[in-house]
Amino acid sequence: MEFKRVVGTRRSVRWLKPWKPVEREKLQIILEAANRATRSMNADYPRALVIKRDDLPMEIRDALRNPTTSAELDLAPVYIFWYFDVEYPKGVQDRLKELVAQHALSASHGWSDAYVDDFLWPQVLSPIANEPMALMFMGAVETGIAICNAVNAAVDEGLGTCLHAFTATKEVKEAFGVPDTWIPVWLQLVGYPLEEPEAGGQRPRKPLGELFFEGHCNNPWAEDPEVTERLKQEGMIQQPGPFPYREQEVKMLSRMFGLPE
Amino acid sequence: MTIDDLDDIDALRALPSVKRWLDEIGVGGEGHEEESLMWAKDLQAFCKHSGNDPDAILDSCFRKTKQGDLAISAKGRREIDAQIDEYEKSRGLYGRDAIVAGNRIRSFLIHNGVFMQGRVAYP
Repeated sequence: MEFKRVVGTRRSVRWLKPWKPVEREKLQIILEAANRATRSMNADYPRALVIKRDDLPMEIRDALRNPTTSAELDLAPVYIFWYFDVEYPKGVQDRLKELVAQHALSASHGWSDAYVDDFLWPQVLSPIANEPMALMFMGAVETGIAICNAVNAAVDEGLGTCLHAFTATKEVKEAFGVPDTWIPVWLQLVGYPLEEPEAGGQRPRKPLGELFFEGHCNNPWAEDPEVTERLKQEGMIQQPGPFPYREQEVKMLSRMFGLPE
Repeated sequence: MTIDDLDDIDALRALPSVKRWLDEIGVGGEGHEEESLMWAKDLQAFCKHSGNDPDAILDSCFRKTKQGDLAISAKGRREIDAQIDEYEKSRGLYGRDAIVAGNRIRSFLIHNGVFMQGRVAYP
């Protein structure tokens, strides 16, 4: 799928085929996409634990139910528990020097091994590593970026996916040997979509001018209608809901699983 | 409405909370009498089982915070969920039939703002 169409087609899919397993190959693609995401300091922030639904003890599945996550847990065949490792600053010096060695970071932009060792690490990165708020902020942001790649990769592979609040962290930690240094971020559920590809239509978004600005924050970004039209043609902007059949679709799916209507 | 009035199915259907539910699931209007009756009778049976009218059931799922705001009562919701499970058993239902019957009651709660975990019956 073309990039713009992946971005436009992504939406939180909550109806998944519980009977259709996700190929391991596709899970690897999802993980690799996360691994390839942009990351500050080239640090290794994200961690993921992949578990098949049917390998998850029922008491843990029940413990994961929360006020925003319900039947999806029974429908999704694969769970990806996303964390970041709070020890991500470890090894950052070496990771940065790898970038210096391959001239991704070069003297042209002020980078050298000595800069990393004698200035950046002791005076900038080490203090961040010792500042809990900064440590958590960067860990969460950078892992979120990686998860975004993972979500889009799932869409590109024809899968349905949705991020969910990650509760029951203690139960998951105890059952699956999660290290003490891993901080939970999101639970990504993955499977083959059971609903129509529109999944109720593209979710509503405000116009760019309400969110983004140019030159000054009193100058809203002015959309070029030709570009907007092109994005519609190329699938980044898609038809929003409600679709006339959607109510019926949800009713039928609910009845398939005996769920509340 | 009190528990003694539960036998009057039309009065039950006229309760705003019940009417809202029936309207939102698409059986509240004309031409859906049979379906509306079926759903309402399920709720009626559950009310009799629990010994509470629909609004009392809803009230038990909420609580007032110290600031006077309305909040979901986790304890109340758990208790109602357990009562739904008991209700299914009391009717001699099992498997998919039990799940569907229980989820009908959960639907009433959900459409009145109580987040409930619907059970899944795999097809």
